Amino acid sequence: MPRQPHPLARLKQWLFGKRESQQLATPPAEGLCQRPSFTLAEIPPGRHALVERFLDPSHVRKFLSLGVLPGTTLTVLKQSPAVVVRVGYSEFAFDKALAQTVLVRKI
Amino acid sequence: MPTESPEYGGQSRLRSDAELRKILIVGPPNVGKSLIFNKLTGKSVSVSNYPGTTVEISVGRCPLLPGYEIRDTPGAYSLLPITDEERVAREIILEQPDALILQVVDAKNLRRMLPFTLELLELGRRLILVLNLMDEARQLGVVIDHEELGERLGVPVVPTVATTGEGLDLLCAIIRDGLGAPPPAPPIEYPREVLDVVRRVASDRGTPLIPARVVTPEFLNGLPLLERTDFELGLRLARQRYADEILAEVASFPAVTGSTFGNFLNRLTMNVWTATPLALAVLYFGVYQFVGKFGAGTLVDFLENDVYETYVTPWLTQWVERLIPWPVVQDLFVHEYGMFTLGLRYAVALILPIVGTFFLMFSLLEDSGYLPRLALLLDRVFKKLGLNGRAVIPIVLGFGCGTMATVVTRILETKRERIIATILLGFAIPCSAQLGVVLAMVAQRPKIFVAWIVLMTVIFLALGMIAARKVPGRAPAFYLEIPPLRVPRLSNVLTKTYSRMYWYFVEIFPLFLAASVVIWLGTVTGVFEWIIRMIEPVVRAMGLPREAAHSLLFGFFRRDYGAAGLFDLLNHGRLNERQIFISALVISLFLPCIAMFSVMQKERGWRFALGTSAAILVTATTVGVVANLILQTTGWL
Repeated sequence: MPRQPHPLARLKQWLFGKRESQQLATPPAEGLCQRPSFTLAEIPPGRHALVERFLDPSHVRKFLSLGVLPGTTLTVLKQSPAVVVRVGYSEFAFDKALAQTVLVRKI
Repeated sequence: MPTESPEYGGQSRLRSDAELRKILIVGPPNVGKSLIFNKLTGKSVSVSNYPGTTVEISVGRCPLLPGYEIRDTPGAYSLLPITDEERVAREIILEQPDALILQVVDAKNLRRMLPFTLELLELGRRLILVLNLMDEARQLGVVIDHEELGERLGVPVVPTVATTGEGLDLLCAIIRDGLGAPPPAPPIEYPREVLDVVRRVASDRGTPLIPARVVTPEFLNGLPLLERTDFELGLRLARQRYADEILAEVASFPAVTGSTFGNFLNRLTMNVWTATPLALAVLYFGVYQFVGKFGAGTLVDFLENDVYETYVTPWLTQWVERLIPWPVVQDLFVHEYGMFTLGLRYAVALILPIVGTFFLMFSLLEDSGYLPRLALLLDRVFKKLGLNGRAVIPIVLGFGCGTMATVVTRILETKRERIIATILLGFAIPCSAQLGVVLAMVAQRPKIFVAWIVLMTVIFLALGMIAARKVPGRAPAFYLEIPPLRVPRLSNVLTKTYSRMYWYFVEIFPLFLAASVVIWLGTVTGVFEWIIRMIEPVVRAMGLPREAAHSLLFGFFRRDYGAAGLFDLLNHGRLNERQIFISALVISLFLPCIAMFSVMQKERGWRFALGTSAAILVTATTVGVVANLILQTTGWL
């Protein structure tokens, strides 16, 4: 059950419409405390991760061509001699420098 | 790999009949485009497990589809190109607005490939979606309701297994029945940022806001990097979302299950500690035993001594001497440097078995999916040379034929990498013809063999490290799809080996004969005698016998030709150990053959080709002279 909002917030809601109240009523889907992000180069083999965003725009095209997009889940298979990940039924290899430009969240 | 002619330009060769309706086979690398092309047209273009097979554009006709002309295109992931291959694919697609597009995809990876389908549909083209590799997808438990998918996309969808031919009849039947008007562009909801960019281009043309029809790569490359990237990401995410919505209703992709034997083997090929011995074993059995000992030893012995010299040469000599009374003209065809006794003999009895065994081995490695794993293993080493792991493919191919490998450097992403790879191929990678001869010369002498390998490796690494520093540009990034390990199909391997040998033979055979004629001319006019006298001091400085000057001079026409000449000297017992070592070294480093020179000129320009050749000549000679000095003063050999 959502907590009863503060009277001032209720006034604000009454004055300025719906938006604020929604923010108060529904906590973010990921949970109240955001989980930390890592780069792809930091995920140990065997763990799954969700791609959040890319840190270097000059490399984004490479990931797009392989179908690695924000929101893609992947499994890390190896970190050495290069980073190998599985996405769906495909396996891709990246060098460390490239893997460090992918921000991911562990899942 | 090209099979039709030894040209590399591609486009210029595409003369075609205006009467014929066109079919373009489009799709990402390594999904069986070339195999489907082969099956439809009955031609043999090679099929590989790595990107870059279709450097040339093959054109053919299908007996089941009268009135149509089929074209294979280089692998492409999207209409917004990154690589040269994709650029070529885009040009071909846009050049042929009326062509029917066969988009071939890997069925199990449909999710990743469907956005490209949507992009093509946005262009408003007639299209058939071919879900290939259906057998692998079924094995994984993938289920795709292809009829429903076709319904949703508005195009026919045909599941196929190109290796067995399953589904190809249905494909032909659909093409023959004819397709109606192209479906309307898919109603994809693009985010505002994407539409803003599209509107900027479209406003002055009054076209509808369909990204694929409006936005060109040239326009995108003119945008600031960050803006361009946001646009491309937004575009792709919107298409992916639309694709995912469709797939959620028509297909199911079960999660990958536990570890199978294939999975275990897969890990072994990617672990440094198991993969390194494996790579060495491949090198030892594949190159040394099979190509070196069997190809360059047993096969050459049999073909050259037991067949050619015993039956062909005496027979031809007899006939030529009977038909042509003038000894000078006789020399053109037979005797020491004749077209039949030298040119033809080298081409058929010496070079062909060596190159053939190499290509057979290479095709096996390719079809098993081993090469990308080798790329993974060697990436860090190659980074030191200014290359990335991907360069393994042209470099390994260079051990077969440097000319072919120079063409294949196109799969490398940046100009810098292509230049470095070409330099390494020209200098330090002996082609199979040289390798075969060198191995035959040194294989029986372990000490020389080891010294030669060590020195060549040092030269290769040193050269790469220098090139990495001197050639301007950014350090490369390595990213590569690792295809599943597959048991190679014998018929596929043989087809590929055949098509490569055919290419090689068509390319070198005329050159061998031409070289014979030039040598004959040079000998008759005395020009060669003069040149040989000029280079004799150099040859002597390398401690080689006078006759070696001949071989080195001929090596200018083809380095395998020169190598074969030295091999001849060895067989007649005219070289001692030190001379063997030095000739092996010089021949390995020697000038690229005329064919490689012409490819270098086509791909990199005159200045590069001439400069590199001159540098190679100087380096090879210097190394030879210095090695001789060291060996003579220390007395090691």
